[in-house]
Amino acid sequence: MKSTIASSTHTATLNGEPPNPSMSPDLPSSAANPRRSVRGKLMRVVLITTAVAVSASGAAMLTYDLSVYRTSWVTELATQAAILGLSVAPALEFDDHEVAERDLGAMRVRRRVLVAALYTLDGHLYASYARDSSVSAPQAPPPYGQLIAGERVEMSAPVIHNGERLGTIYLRASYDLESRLLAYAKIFPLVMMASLAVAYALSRRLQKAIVDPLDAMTGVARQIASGRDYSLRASKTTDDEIGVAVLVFNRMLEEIQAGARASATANVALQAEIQVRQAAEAALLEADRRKDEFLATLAHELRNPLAPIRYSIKLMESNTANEQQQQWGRAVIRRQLQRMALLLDDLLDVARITSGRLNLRLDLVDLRSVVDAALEIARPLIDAKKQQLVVDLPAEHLKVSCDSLRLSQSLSNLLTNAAKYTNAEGRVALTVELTASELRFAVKDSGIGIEPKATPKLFRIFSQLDSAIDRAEGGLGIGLALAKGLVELHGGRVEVFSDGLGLGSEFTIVLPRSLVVVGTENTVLANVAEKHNGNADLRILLVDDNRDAADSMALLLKFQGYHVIVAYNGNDALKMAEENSPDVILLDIGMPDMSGYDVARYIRQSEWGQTMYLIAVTGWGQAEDKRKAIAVGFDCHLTKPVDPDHVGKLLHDLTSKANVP
Amino acid sequence: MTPCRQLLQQVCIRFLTALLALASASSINAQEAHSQYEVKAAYLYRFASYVEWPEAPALSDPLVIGVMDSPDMLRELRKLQTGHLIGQRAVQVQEVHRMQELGAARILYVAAGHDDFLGALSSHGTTSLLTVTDEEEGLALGGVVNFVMVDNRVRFEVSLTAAERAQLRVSSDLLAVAIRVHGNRATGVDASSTPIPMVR
Repeated sequence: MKSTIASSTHTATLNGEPPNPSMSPDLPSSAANPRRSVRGKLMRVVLITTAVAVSASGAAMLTYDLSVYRTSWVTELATQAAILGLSVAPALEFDDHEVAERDLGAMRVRRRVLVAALYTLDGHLYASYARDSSVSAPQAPPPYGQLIAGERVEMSAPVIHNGERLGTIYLRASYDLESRLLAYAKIFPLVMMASLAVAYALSRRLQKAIVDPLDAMTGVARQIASGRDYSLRASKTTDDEIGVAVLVFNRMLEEIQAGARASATANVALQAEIQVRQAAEAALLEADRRKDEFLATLAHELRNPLAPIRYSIKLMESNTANEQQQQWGRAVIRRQLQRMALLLDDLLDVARITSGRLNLRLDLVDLRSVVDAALEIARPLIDAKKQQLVVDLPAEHLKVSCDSLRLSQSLSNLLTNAAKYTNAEGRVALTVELTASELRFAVKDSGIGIEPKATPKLFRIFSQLDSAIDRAEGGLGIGLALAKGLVELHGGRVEVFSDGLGLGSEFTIVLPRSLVVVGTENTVLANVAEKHNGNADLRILLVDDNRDAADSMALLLKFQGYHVIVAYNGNDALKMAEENSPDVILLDIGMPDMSGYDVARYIRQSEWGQTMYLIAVTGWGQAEDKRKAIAVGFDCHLTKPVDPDHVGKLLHDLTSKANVP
Repeated sequence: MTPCRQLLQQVCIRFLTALLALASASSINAQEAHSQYEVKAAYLYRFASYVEWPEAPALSDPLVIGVMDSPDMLRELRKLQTGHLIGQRAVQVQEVHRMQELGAARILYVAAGHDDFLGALSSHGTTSLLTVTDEEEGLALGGVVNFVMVDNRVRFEVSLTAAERAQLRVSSDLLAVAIRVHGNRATGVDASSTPIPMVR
């Protein structure tokens, strides 16, 4: 019989929770106290049973033996008496006393015979024999028969010859029970010891069938208790009750194991959830902290331009200010307004990206125009700090499918950032290169650099590396986050690399190669370029139901040298567009008689309106509005209030792009 | 009490004691003489059960005991005869004076002083007769059993030679209680008085 322990899945049990033996002390070892073990108990039962059985059978044997012994002894004594009677009969008959004495004396050879006596018919003691002096024959013949009194057996019988009764023969013998019992007392312990030894040996062999499976099961239970390894199984070796117990035991183990597994899994899930929640809570706290900081910064940044504006207005209101001073005041107010508008735009963009509401207006644009727009934004700061700007563009003519405004915004943010964190007369380099799989815009500076461990935090919204510097440089600290968000909307990414503090840094916008088209041109732009051949002499139709807005914008554009005509409603706009065939139409969307969408749709449906560049001007800057605008045929979308300079630049770009060979 | 009376009293007591002793001794002698034949008669009866005769007589025939010249014995035997069986046989006692009167007797008691008769009996070669003598040299005269008195008690001696001559078979039990056994069963040699050793 083998007592094996089956270990099916020894690993992969309780995850995370190490076994803790101190929680449950080891089961008491039965080996320490054999009396308590089943083995010991069975052995006791067997030995006690054997002892009782041997004692009982010994007692029965003794009783039976004594009774047989007595019967046989009595029979023998009776036989003896009969023989003796026969032999002494002649002596009694012929009154030969000596012969009688001699015959009785022959009883000497019978050790147990104590007394032999012969009586005459008239009751006199005729002859006698006594084994020793301590005993003597009774004077009168006892009555015939046998008598057992304690240690003595007495036998009295008539002496008969030829049918004639001659006298009485009497025998007394020691029963000799004591020596018999003594012999038993000597033999019995030996028999008992031998029986117990045999029972012990036999029981040890037979017990294995019971105890070994139990031992195996107990061993498994003990191992489980100490190791908490519920994958252990006791092996079933018998079909009896113990086998059933083993089966049930194993089933219980399976259930416990399943329960332990489930709870372990639940535990892991719970811990993971707790970690997630803790992280979320930390992130929330961090976000809250940053939001507070950001609000403080925002208030500061919004407040900053107010003072110069207020001073300028005061200056312009005073009568003493001359023309030059008033012009200076206007310039101050314009600059500060631009700055505030930029600030608010950035803020809105960040909010949109954060809430996922910013949609790109994808267009196939010239790479150079994107770079130029970005450089234009960053250049004032670079120039102001007298930094060296190096631009390296690819030789081939590339077009990029992107939201040019957003992409240039991202790039300008990187450039501005580089300029901001580089000392005066430092160096800022922009390198654009097209690789087999990517389009890379690398902005490298010789500035303060970044600690490696700080890089992950750089792109978080509201994050600023050094508040002191940031205060000096201004800004909300959302530039990098905004750039990253916008680039990621394009399916690209922003990378940062620095050799360390004081060693400069490099920010790279990486766009997938699939966005890039080499060497094709926009048909509208080509058309515009063809017609005007690098000339700024564009004809522009301005449509707005707000006459002040329309007239002021028209005036501004005229100053810049464009031919501008104005319509104040949709119908007029259609009429004028058909009559004048303008190159560009700036179209307000919300008009009383017909919406800008309808006007644009109509124009695009007309034969004459296919090549016109349509710009939507709307108060609604939502992604949905822009999508709708593109859908009805607009080429571009501007959000009110429209910056005249922006429009001018846009128009300038149109002509210059069209002029690119 | 005076010394004179004391003396007188002692003399009287001694006299009476001596008188008593004398009386009792004489009565014992008379009793012994009387009981001697009583014992011998009983022995005669008992001998029959220790002896085998060559031809077994019919059970209906009585066992005849002859008595030669002994009225005492005759009287005692007759006393025992009534209702006395030897084995399963009745006993018949008859007086014998001559050889011719023996008849069917199986046992013959011969009183002392009949040497001639015994000699004649021997020479005649009578078989199947248990001859019981009662004198000093009884066996030599031809008796199979001979009564002798030892210490005032009746004892007997047996001659196996004579028994063999009479074709009688004597039980060893009888030999065991005999004071002497003459002769030898195997050889039949006479006059050897070797006692048979105890076998039991």
